[in-house]
Amino acid sequence: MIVVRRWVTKTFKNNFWFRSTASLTLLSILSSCNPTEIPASGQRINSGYTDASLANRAFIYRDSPAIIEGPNFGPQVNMKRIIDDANPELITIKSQLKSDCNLSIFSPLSNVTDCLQTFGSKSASQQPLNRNSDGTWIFPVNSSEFYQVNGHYHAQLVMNKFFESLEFAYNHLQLNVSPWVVKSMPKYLNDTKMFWFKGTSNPNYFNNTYLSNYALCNLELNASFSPAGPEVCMGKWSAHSNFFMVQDPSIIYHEMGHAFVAIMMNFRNANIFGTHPLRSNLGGYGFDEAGSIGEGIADYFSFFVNGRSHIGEWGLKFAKSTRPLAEDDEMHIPGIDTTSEGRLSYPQYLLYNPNNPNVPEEDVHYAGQIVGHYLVALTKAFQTECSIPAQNLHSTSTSYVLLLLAETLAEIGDLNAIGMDQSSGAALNPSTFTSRFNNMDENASFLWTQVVNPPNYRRFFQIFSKNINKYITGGLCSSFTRDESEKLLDDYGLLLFKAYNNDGSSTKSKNIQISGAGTATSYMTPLPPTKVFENNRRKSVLVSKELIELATPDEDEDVATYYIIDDQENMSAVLQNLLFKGFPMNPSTGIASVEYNNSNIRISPGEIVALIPNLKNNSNSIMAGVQLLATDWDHVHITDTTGINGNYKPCKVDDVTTTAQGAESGLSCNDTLDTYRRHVKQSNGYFRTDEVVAPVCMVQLEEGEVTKWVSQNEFRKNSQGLSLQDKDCLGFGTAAATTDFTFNPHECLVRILPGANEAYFSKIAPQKSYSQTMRSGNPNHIFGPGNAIVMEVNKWIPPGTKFRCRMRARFTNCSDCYNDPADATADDYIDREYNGAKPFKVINIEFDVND
Amino acid sequence: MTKKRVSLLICCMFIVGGCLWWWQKPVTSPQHSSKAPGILTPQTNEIQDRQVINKDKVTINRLPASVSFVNKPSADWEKKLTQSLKAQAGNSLKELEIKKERSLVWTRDENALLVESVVVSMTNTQDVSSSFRALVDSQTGKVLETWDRTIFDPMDKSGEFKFKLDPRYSN
Repeated sequence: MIVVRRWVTKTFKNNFWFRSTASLTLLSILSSCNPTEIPASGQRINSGYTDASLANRAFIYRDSPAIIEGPNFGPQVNMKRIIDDANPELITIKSQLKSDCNLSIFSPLSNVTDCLQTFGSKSASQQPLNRNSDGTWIFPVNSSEFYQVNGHYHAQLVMNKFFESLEFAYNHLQLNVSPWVVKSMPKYLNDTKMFWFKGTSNPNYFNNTYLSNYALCNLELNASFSPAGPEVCMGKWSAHSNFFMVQDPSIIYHEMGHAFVAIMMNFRNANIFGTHPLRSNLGGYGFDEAGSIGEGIADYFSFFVNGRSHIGEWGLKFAKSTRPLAEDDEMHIPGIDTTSEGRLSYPQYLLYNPNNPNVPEEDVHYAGQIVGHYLVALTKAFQTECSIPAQNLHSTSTSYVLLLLAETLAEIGDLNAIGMDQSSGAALNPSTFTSRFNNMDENASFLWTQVVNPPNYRRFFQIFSKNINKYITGGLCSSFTRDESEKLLDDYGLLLFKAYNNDGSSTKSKNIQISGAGTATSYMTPLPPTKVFENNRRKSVLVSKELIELATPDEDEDVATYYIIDDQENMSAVLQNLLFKGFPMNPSTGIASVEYNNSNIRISPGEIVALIPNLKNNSNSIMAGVQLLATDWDHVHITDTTGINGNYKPCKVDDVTTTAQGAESGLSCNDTLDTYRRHVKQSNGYFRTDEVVAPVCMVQLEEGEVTKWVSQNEFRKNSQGLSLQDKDCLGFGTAAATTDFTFNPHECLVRILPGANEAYFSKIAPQKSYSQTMRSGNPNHIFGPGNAIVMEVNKWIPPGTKFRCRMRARFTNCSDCYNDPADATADDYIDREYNGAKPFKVINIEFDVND
Repeated sequence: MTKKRVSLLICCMFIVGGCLWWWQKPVTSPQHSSKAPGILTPQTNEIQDRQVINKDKVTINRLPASVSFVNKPSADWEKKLTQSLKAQAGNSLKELEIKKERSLVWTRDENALLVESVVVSMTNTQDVSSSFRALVDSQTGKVLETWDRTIFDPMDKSGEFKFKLDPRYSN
């Protein structure tokens, strides 16, 4: 089907915001004798304003050139045509380009001084811009100062609106909702200052308590948010010297949206008992659904400010990558509309690029459109269903959504893992209150929230809709019923869960549940969660995990079981890319290196290789959000009772590794570990002898007539003629004279690299492999780094050595990955169960190491 | 108090004491010397400024006697980290900066490790900057966790890194 992209010729939607802006602009043009002449720095203006009325103010552009001048305008632009020179806006009363963060929650006013500071480009000697000597912020149009002032204005605009909505959310939760209802946004937010990039524990977590807003960043065709700064960076386009991303306020709102997501996810990560050393983020390396959720929410922050259901009309249009936020946008292909059938639903439109709709594209921004569309549709539903005064329709309805986002993200990102506070609102003391109700526990929580059980569309919308039931249906807007909420979710294919998981079970035991704020109770029969109305599930299709497997090689169909990348150029690039994206790998010096890579598309000693598993969907429905984990898990039974070697037997988790091959089917294999500890030496110098998680790759050991699968540590010590020392193992990080207690000798021979220890696949079509899915409609599809598992291979491995790596697969629309099908309550698995095999399909990847 | 009551009290104390002893018993089964080769004793000045975050998430500003550290701070941790990052980066970086934010004690795999919390900032040869936070082993310079990574929103999505599949895979 050929689809004509109508967006190129369309006029942007003539909504209220556009009409208002256009009217103001027209008025200013008509009322000025020389409308494009804006006085330069230090000059007085002739438009009748007094010095006093312009104090601390500037003329700004209210929207992008594409909105003011129309969609065919640019990329060459003179911003004199764009600014509103009739209505100067307050920029800041400070003498430098800085603003405070003020949050009025209870009293006193909570404040972070100078929390937003705007600069031009990044430099070692950077200083915020000084106010003009005439007391204004009016600088020559198109100058660096002009863009800094405008960048500051729009960043401050969205920030202030964020705080207004946050105040609404906080005050509602604390004043109107029963103290016995467990909330995620903590009451002590006022004390911790975690509503911004500031923690009050000693020493303060952040070097900078302010967000640096770079209006003219040296970043080509790009914009970014760096939480480690924290900083927002608005890029440029070298081919057009007067084109800048800062000219498009919707992109500023989007980048600031990433900052707000980072803040909300970490609401709970500081309290009177300390600040967690880590912070939560949305998204990992390459494509994943957590990153897509982050992009969808960031897009929503543009709608949040300007009420327009489209983003990047200027900043993204020249690369043909703008994004709609509602189904009635003219850019969409036929068939997408605001009816139940026509919604931008999951997983059908996961790879949908409205700019190029015939080519599937695996990208977090396009996948995030489903989230953005849902949030806008929900906002409109609140506007229709709830009794909101007309003059507050947008601000109140978006504040409802922000309340839901704040509660949901705070729960997802909770690293302290207690998951509740006292009924007074005070934090619980982790040394006396030992139950954990969220994200496993405080030591494993980072791994759980980022890798093992990260937010996907199921987890996010299950918590989000639980919060709709609690706070919207249950309080703010009872006319928006659970039935309506589920129907809307299902219109988007997002009713991906059978129950709301709102029974409050502990992460370690289903029998311990939250029984009121600040208390935990043990039940013989745990209380069940609320189930969804199954009649509402019409578009959200769930598929069994048993129907996913590795593809069978088929030369006619050009299908491989897995693809190996082992050439030096590609692998050097992927390692560099991993580092640049924040995934250092601690390379094993002298034991493996890309210098050993020989491009024979096999796994050879000494190489660093990327392995792209080609998973096949044997069902008749789409599988989406497929995650293949190569992290350590509880799949072994330790047989070494001395603690010297840590030898183990693999547990029998499927029919692949049998008892005849050395597998164990009882003993510690009967249960999953209730904490997370790797199989490394303890402080007494010995391995544990009870339960641990072990690396995924085992090695085949031949002893006479017997062939069995053993730990890499056992093999390297026992295999004839090998006897490798620690220093000859992968991942050993120190001199032989001291011991490295982060070193895991059970990955001495094959080591999966951090950051590349999971592969993600957006979706797999029915009865197809992933590669077939992506090549359908795009024969030139090439794999992304997020599709690969990257591993080091020890150069000392004897050729012919066989490995079996037991990875674990699950996907978002899975019927039996999140709860036991035999459990009629449909209660979700508790976190400890994600240490084992039950929530996953075990995928065995086997290979020989050969030159 | 009657003899019967005294006996009952002694009996109760015995039971409670037994329970406490049982409760305190370590789970790890092998009984090895408490001063095994792994335990290191850092100098007081190596740990006195660290925020100790033990497994109960209690922040304390001085060393608890019960904590056994398994690593010892090395002055070389930053040098080792730099070497490791540069080895991975190859010739792709123009600038690399490591900025220490604080020193901590971090429980990993039930081992108490002395770690450094750092911000790593990089600029590549295309002049693009990125950053992330990391917890780094104070002895080996190994990166233990990373977070707070830069989120990029490129105008043109096709510029993202992709693998070139070997031509022997026909597609």
